[in-house]
Amino acid sequence: MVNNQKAAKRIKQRSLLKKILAKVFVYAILLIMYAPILYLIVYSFTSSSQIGRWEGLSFEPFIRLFASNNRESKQIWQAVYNTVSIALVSGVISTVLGTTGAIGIFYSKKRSKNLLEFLTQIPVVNAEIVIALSLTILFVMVKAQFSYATLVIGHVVLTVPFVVLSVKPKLTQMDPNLYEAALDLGANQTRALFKVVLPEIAPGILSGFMLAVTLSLDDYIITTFTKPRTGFDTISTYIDAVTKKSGLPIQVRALTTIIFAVILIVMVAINIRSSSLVKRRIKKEHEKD
Amino acid sequence: MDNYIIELKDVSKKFDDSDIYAVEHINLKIKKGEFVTLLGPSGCGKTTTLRMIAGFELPTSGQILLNGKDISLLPPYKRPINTVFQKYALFGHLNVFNNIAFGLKMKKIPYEKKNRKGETVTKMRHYTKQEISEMVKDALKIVDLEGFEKRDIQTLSGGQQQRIAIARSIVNKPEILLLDEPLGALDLKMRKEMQLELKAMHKKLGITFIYVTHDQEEALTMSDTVVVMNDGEIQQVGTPKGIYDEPKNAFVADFIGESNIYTGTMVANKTVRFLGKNFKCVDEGFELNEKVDVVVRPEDVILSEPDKGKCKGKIVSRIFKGMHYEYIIMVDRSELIAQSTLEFNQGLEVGIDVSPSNIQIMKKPFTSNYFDGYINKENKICFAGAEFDYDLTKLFVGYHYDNDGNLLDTKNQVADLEGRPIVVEIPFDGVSISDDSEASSLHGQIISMIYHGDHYQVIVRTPDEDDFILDEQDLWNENDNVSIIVDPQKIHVSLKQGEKHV
Repeated sequence: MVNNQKAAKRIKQRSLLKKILAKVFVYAILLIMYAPILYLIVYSFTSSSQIGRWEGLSFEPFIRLFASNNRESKQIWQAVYNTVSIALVSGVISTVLGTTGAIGIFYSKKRSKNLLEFLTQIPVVNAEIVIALSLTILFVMVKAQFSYATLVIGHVVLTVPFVVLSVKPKLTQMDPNLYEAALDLGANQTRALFKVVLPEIAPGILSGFMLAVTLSLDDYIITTFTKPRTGFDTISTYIDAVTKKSGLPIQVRALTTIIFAVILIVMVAINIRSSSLVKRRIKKEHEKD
Repeated sequence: MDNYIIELKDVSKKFDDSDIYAVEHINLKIKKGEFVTLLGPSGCGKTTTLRMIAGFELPTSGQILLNGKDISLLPPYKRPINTVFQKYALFGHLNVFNNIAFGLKMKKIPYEKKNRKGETVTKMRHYTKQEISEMVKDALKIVDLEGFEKRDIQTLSGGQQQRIAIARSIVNKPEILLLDEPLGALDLKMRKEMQLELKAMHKKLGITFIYVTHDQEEALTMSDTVVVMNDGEIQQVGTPKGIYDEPKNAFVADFIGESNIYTGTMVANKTVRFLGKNFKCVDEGFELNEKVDVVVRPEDVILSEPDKGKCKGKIVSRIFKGMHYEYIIMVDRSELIAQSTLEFNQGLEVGIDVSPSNIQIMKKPFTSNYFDGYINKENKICFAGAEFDYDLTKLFVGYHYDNDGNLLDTKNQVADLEGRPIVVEIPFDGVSISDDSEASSLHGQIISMIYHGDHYQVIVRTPDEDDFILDEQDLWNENDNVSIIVDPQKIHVSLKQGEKHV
């Protein structure tokens, strides 16, 4: 009897230990993931020119970032503008190409379908440096000036396969009769596509667009290879350039903090929205019953 | 123009990725305003036929005529035909109103207008918003869902979605409404209700309905005309009563309602022998001693005292069905299903009789297996994708084998018979099947099983589309993959007609 109680106690202790260990493990991983970001955020609130030296709480990096007469800040904002503009332009182009591509592949005959699917998947697993180098060689061969256009082409090449990948499952999930129903009701192929198929796969298109924009925003390799040779930088190439020349300007720390904050807010907003959507749908289901 | 709204002329359909015809040489005429049901087991080609009428599939050969005009190659959006899909296919991103209005918004109607010179010209215009909203309202009224315009599709129950799908089709006032198993996803009670409603709707609207189902009861309840299909071919076209009372072949008899099917022999004019006795019947046009299929419906079996009937049987099972009892009776080794309001105890001997008009006699579609084949280099016979040894001296008079097994002709020369076409006949009892895949090099899939009282008639199809028919005691399942064992002793070979005996 006593023995049994002891054993039970031991089992209890052991399971408690297991729980604690599991939690420690999870928090340790999270810490490793977020520590560098937190570190950077903390140091964006001091005016020291070197990260790691704390010179008291200060908003100097932010003030300098938003100062209108600061040369470095101007460069930084130009880089931000370039980055966002490239991301949006290439994102829109990739989304159009990727969506039409996915639809084309989906409705093509079985044999060519498999081949095309395979071909669109290779760039996803391919090393980015290979794409970057081959694009550079191609541009040189056709004697194209490295410009905004070549940069956009580079980013489109990078992101199109991901758009295809995020649109394709929506097409597979779609009831094949929907397109037929549209034809049946008098819509020709084009109208059926715009009025029924596209709205039906819209979530996939949207997530493809978001994916393309995100990939383009923080791309470095293809950007350095395909961007104009002088006077044009995105955030990543700018930071790379200045860290090579001199130290990192303190405004960059403020900028990264702002970027992180914006992304955090967007993510939280999306999560709240989708969970409220789910709740609303559940409520509707209940009403139905 | 014989008032036929739609006519299929020798229509066949083969899909690109398959060697098999989904639909083969179909001829069908449908009158304006009819309620026609295409009935058959899954994979029989009924849905493919419907999809060709809708325009989703183009026929490989043949013609589809609408009011006498060829529409075979017309795209769906140019056909005055609308479809109700099995899973409704409602547009999830639109509300009820916009779903129903979808077709109306696409449509252009002619109207007359005076131009500057004062001449009347015909122009095309879209419906106005008000016209559309009135028509949608009317359509919702027909399907009993008034006031549902603003609802989201996701908030509707299955039955309601079904009604919206019907409203979305009939609002366009099509000449033909196609319904592809529209009630398949509903529960039984709902289904029965919708059957009656659809029937009433058909009466009210006067539109031709073409309805696809695998449910024979549904087909019999709703239709003016039933088209029974199997294996890509039309088996029988007729009224529900006609098809039930006078099935054309064993498949139809087996598929529509319950039936006892036996192999019988015509022993005299209007006399057929089955269950070990001679029965009078009314069907004519058979040869003496011809083997026939005999169908007797369970409700047509007359049960009586043992010595009063034509033959005797023992009741092995009795089930109370409310209106009547259903008996299973063993007559020697044959099983007979009978329905009767009279009560007999299990184990009792009863007399059995059937009145002549209730015995349905049908020509046997096949009495033996026939294959086209040829002789190969090794002097073996090849057919149905397999090769067999055969004593060719039976076929070629004066030929003989030498000690090395070479076939020598009448001049003692080695005979060259390669590629010679032959016809191979194997009676049903020369073929058997096994689930041991090693048992034979020939394999196939069971495509049909029909109970013939004391055995099943099984049709096994090889991947090359050759059918083996055999009698089998054991119960197998359709679509089972089996080995086909051919008894070489039972193979009979003859030279193809037109080929000279050497």
